[in-house]
Amino acid sequence: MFVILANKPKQTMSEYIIQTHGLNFNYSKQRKVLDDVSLNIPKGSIYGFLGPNGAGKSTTMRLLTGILPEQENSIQIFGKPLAGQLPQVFDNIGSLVESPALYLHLSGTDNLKYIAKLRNLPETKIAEVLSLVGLTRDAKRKARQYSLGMKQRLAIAMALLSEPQLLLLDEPVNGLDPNGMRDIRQLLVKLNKEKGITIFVSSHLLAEIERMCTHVGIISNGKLRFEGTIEELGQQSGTCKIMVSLKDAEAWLPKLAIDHPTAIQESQSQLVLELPGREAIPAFAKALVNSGAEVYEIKILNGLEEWFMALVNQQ
Amino acid sequence: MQNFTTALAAEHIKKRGTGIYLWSVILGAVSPLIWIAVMFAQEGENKDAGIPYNYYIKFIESCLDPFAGFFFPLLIIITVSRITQLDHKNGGWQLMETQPIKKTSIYFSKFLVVLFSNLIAIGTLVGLSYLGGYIATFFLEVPKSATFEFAYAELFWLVARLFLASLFFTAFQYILSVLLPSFIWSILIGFFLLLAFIFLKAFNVTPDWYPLELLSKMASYPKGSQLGYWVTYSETASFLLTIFTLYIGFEWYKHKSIKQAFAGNAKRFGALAGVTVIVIGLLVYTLWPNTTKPHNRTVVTGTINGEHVPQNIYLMNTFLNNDTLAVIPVKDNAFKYVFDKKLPLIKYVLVFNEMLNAPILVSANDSVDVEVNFYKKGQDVKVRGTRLPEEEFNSKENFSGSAVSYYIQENIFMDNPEFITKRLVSDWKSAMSESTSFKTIDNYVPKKDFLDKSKIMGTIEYLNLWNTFVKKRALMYPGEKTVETEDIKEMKKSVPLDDEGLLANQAYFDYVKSQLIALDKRDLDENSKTLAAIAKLKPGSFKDKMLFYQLNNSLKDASTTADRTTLLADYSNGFTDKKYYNNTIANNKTIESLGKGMPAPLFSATGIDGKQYNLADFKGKYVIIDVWATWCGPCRQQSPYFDKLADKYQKENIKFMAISVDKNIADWAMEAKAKTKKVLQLHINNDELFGKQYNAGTIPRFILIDPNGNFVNAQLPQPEDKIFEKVLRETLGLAEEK
Repeated sequence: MFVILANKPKQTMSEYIIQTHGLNFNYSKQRKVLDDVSLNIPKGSIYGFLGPNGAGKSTTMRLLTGILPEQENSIQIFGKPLAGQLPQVFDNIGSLVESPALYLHLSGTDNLKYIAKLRNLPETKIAEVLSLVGLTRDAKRKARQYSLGMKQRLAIAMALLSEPQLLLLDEPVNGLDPNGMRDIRQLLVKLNKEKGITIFVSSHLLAEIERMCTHVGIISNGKLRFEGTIEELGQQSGTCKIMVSLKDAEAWLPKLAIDHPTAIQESQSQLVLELPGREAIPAFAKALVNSGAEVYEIKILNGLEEWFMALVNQQ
Repeated sequence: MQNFTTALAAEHIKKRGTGIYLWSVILGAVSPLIWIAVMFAQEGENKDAGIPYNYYIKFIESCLDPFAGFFFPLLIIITVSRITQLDHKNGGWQLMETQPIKKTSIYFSKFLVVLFSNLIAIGTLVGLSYLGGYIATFFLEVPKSATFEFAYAELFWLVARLFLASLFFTAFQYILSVLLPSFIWSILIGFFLLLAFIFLKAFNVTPDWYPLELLSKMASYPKGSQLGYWVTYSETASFLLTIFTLYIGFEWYKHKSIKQAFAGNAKRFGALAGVTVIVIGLLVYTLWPNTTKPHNRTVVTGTINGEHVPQNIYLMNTFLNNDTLAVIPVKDNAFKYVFDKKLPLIKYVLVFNEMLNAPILVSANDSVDVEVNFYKKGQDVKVRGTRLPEEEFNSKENFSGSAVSYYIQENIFMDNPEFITKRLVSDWKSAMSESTSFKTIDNYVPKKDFLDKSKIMGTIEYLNLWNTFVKKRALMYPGEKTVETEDIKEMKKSVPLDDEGLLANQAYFDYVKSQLIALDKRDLDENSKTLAAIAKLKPGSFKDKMLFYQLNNSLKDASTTADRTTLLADYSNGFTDKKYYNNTIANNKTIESLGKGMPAPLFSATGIDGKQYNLADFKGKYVIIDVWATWCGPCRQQSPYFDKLADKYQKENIKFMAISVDKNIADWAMEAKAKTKKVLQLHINNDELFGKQYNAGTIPRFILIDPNGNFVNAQLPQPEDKIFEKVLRETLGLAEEK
């Protein structure tokens, strides 16, 4: 068993918007759901909380929002213990815990009016967030008639209504089609960039996290296996298997085999070989092009994925 | 607080389009609508008792039973389930908890919405009652004694009490529905409570704190406390139970598990213990039955209001006919009488005039308060004081007919004495437990002396049933024995055979009589056997009463003066107390004077036109008299039959007359004018003398006198009864009708 912990980023305490110190949780004495989970979510980051189903992501999320009462005082939000800040802390937090919580018998607008009332916000904000999530045209329809993606976006709009400093999103792309996933992803990146909102997002899809997050935490079986920036994540993956699509592959195979003994021909125009890591890809590509190869595509096959699988399968 | 109103406003956004308040209106409207339909269906059947009442309040009270017993609980179950399901179904609980809203605000704003729904239902009931009642006045005849003012205070307390009574059921359903995410459980439990209530009621074992009992009590006692409290003990209990329920429910909700909520740390546990001790303590105090405190003297007081306040009222012994214990003067509409002796618990009668009397229960150190109101066309008597629970218990007629009495009456299962005996004993046992469960709306229970007595009386009912059964079996199966089981022996043992106080009850007398003559196998009638047995009793007041009762009965039943003389000669010297002897002699005189062939005392009366009449004027004709008064309900019921006969026999040599004993001549004149001319309408000149001479204690009274001015019958049956006409035809010498 091994735990990979990247070097702690050089940031001071106050710049972490969420910190947990050895967070534990158990429903019963036999079953420990969270075991010594210490999270550090820097301000301004998009923090991906990654883990397979049942790893403890939702439990963490519910503890962070106070929906589950904490068993010890180990959560700090905005630099102060969470316990004393409930429920006022939600003035600065927007959250989406588990599948979208919205009232299906109400229209999109009424759902937002409900939140506006609860948070004492002017109703003028409603149109703004509706256009932000692209639901302006469907605002008057009942939420019951929405597609899953629309429901997800409405739920995010509800979380965004108060312009929070922190967004807590539990599996926001779960069950969405690729288009829906992309929309949400773009929206989150935009919010992070334009409004400076710190986003804590959980997912079981590595690719999703990889594409939008600045920081990553990986959890499995209730234990935190990795925490660090997305770059540090890349360094952890070890050798990197790539597939190169190029003209006249058969001719290039022997040449490449000199430096890369693992190289094999996959098809007419494709070669597969192993590099020491992701970082080696740019240099490899440059050298290949410089030596006259006509390269169509270089694609990472499974290095990170395999590493991730190995990581989460630890007991 | 701002947090709370915010949450409440948000709840109202959330329930948009659910029609939750609309359902409150619909279910609140059902009962008044049903009642309006009933009013139209029963058109004209409403009898005016002559006692003033508020028309609208009575309308609302008529709607209470179906409302509080069914539609209101139904609404509560539905509303609570729907309002909590809005959040259970849509993940709303978690959504709310991730907003800057306190859990108290979340929990109680939602509860308040349910309370609003309750108030809307009650408001609809009241509003529609006023509207429906108002509309009905255009189509239906309204009793003259109804009043129409807007009774603010009464209405306020009615609504407040209904609301309070519903609180506990609402809170109970609410905490269930919040804790259990599936809608089915809270609905199932709600309906189970509704159903179980029917069974609990049937077996008379409903505890006072049962959520639906609180509502049902409110509906059964719409006027509330008899002792002038704002709310009844039952509503106070509802309030306390609500506090406790909401406390448990909210802590449970807040900490997500009962263990966390109360055993989580010492502070929470301490709070639980504190709240439990205080609320449960108060609850026990509220629900613990009270008995009235003894007064330092034994006293009867009262007030008499309205028209014709008598100058004196009379305190009479129910057992001895016309035995006046005291004449109590009425001064400034009030009277007071202090008993100077230690008394056993006995029923007396207060006589206000010839037609109005009130039975009262008095024992040592009782203070009985009587309020009499005379209205134009009616009167009511309220008896309060230290025997209020007993008075109410008596008026409830708790010993209802049992199955076994039906079997014995109809000769069913007579061949199976084991079965009948077993049923009889088990019915007796349940009747005994029933008699101890009675309490008033102010949680007062009858005192032990009374309960002991009523238990004995209840036992006697079953013993008399047993005796009937044994007699019937002896006739139907002469060879077989009917075994007296240990239980029957125990029943018999519990009834003393020499309790003077119980003799006021006919059933007790009958039972003692049956025991006295049980072994007398001589071939004699029961009266003779009884008199012989009584004569052998130990001299004393018990024997006096037994003898008085039986001797007077025998005198009444005797057909000739010679028989009566023999009876008096044989037994009248058996009395120890001279009073009973004198009373017996006086009664005999009255019986003799009203006997067939005795001269009817002359009286004079006034006709509608002011003309004077005397009974003597009608010599040579049969005279048949209907004694009545305008305020007497049963009289009004009988006179149409009397009038019909007057029409049928107008050609015969008989004068039909109706003699009114009304105090108010104007009342009589107005009604008498509208009556048939075939009956001579008269108003008695001296009602007191007439009442005395004709022994007219109760009306209506029908008297038949022959052409010589002698009685044919001084007490005819009611004209409604076929025998009335039969006697009439026989007297007039007409053949029997086919």
